[in-house]
Amino acid sequence: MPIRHEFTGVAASPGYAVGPLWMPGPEADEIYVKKGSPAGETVALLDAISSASAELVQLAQGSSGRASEIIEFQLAILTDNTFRDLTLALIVSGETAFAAWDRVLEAEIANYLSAKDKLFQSRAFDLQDIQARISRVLCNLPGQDIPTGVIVLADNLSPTAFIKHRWQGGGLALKRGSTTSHVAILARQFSVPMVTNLGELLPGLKAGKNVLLISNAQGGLLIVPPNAADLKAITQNPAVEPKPKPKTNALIDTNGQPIKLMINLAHLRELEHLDAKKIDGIGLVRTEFLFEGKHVNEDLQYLAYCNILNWAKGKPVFIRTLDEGGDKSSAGFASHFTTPNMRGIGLSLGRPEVFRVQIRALMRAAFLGNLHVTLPMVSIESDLQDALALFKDEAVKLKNANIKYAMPPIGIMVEVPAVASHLERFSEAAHFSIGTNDLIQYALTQPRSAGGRKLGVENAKIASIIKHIVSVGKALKKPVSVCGDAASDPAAIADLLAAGVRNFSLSPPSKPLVSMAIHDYCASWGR
Amino acid sequence: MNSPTVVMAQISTKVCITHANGLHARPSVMFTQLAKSFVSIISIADKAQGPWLNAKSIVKVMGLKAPFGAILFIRALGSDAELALKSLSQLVENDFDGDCVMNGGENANPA
Repeated sequence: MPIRHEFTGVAASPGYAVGPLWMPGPEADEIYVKKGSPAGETVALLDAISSASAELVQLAQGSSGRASEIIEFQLAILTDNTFRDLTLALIVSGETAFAAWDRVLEAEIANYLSAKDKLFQSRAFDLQDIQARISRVLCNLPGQDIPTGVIVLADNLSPTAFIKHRWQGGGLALKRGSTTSHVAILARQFSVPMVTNLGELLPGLKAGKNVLLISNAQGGLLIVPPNAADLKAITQNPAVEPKPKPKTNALIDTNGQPIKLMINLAHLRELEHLDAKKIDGIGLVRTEFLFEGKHVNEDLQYLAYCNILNWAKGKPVFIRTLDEGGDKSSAGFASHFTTPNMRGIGLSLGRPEVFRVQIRALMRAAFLGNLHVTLPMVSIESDLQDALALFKDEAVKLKNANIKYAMPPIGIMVEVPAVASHLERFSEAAHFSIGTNDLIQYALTQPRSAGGRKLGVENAKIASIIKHIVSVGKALKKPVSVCGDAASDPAAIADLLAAGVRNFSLSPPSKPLVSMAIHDYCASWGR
Repeated sequence: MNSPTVVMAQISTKVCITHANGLHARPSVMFTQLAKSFVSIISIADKAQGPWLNAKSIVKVMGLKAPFGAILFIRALGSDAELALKSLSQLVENDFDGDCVMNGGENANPA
């Protein structure tokens, strides 16, 4: 009997697949035939660029939407003369077309990988895709067609390789990869099960072996080879049903109270891949990104808030005022501030000239949509009262200046243990948003970014604090939500639901798995 | 040389990037496609003093990695320089038109 191995990874697109393992072929660099002269190498490069472009044009013809945009972008890069000219210069100095192209692209890929901005970093994958396409054409290797129904095992898969394959069954098992890459976005769109970060696996793992790939709320799993019990389990366990399509509006607890799934937003660009129809609102907009550059001004902030409100189409948007300072890394304006022990609302109240700009932008935007304001790191009653006074003060100024505005509902983050235990003293707040990260940090004195021991909402003391917040919120008739990392963690969902939490605000990529965890929990109520 | 010497002045402008993603993949494709439709030599920079990059090359334009809120300096030299600057800055100001899912619309522009 063969030995059964289990490899764990990260679930990137939910579902399961059974099939033979398939791996991409050998690296191209072993096969390149030198042309013998710079002229020969030049011809080889120009031919390769034109055949590769033709391949992309053909691929674009069968694609639409996001897939065709990715191809159009790659085609624009490939036909740009910058890389071609740099490569030709190296060829003239004696390098082969293969080595020169590789060197030019490698430098550019390294440049993108070192970018500060995550979104620009991810473009390195597209450049690797382009680099590999030319290398393959130069070596006369045919494009590798992925056979139907296989589980692809690779370091990473390029976006164009994903698009080219007509997915009918099968799945994607990546040794590295990322849940926010172009491929992961495509996999979720096409309902292809995908697991990333499997690591190096077994050296002897061979193509053709029958494997089972599972991607669900519990994580990602590759089983080689699956036994009868594994196969039976996936068909019987509702937690690993393929292609679950939970509808957020169908989430209701046993008392008929709806469970709401909102999203957290750290930057406007994250909205690009999201559909406002599929969520219940934005439970937390982190506004720190507006303070990163030199151009912190009222109109730009106003424009950013308007963009979010327009996207949300009437659904509630909770915007948190600047939360910097203290132990929070502060590359932005807080780093110029000389009192590092101030954070969140404390810092804003200490710098009213900056805070008033944000207040004005928020109130002008509130005129246009369903905007709520959340104050971070409130620790004493006067934090809330002083902030409310500033809002009222700016409202008078806007009115006198004849500028359209509205006073938004103003709530607080509940993340300081003393506030959580005396919440009734903050009854002027319009809502309570539980920030589990700081709450846990300060209640159990865990340093931020703690290595080793990680305590979470499964800790009974934390669960009881959250339960208390929910019950006070109910008594005061104020909405309560959880927007810390716990709300994005499928493993913490059952504890939060048990503590009475019904409003979750989570990171967009975690939404499919959190919905599944909520479904699992609600299904267990029904039994 | 018999042809009269035409002295063309280089003109320049600056525009703030209000597209949520900055000058990213799609916006860079649109920007370079528009730039290529002019005969003028067009270059861009993220600082007033340069370095100046070819605005018709997507590798250069995206390589600038200009984020949301950055100021983009554009300059042009050629017979259609004026129209080129006007069209390119309009493209940036209008958030690359259809590309932005949360396109500001008429309410989004501060009065």
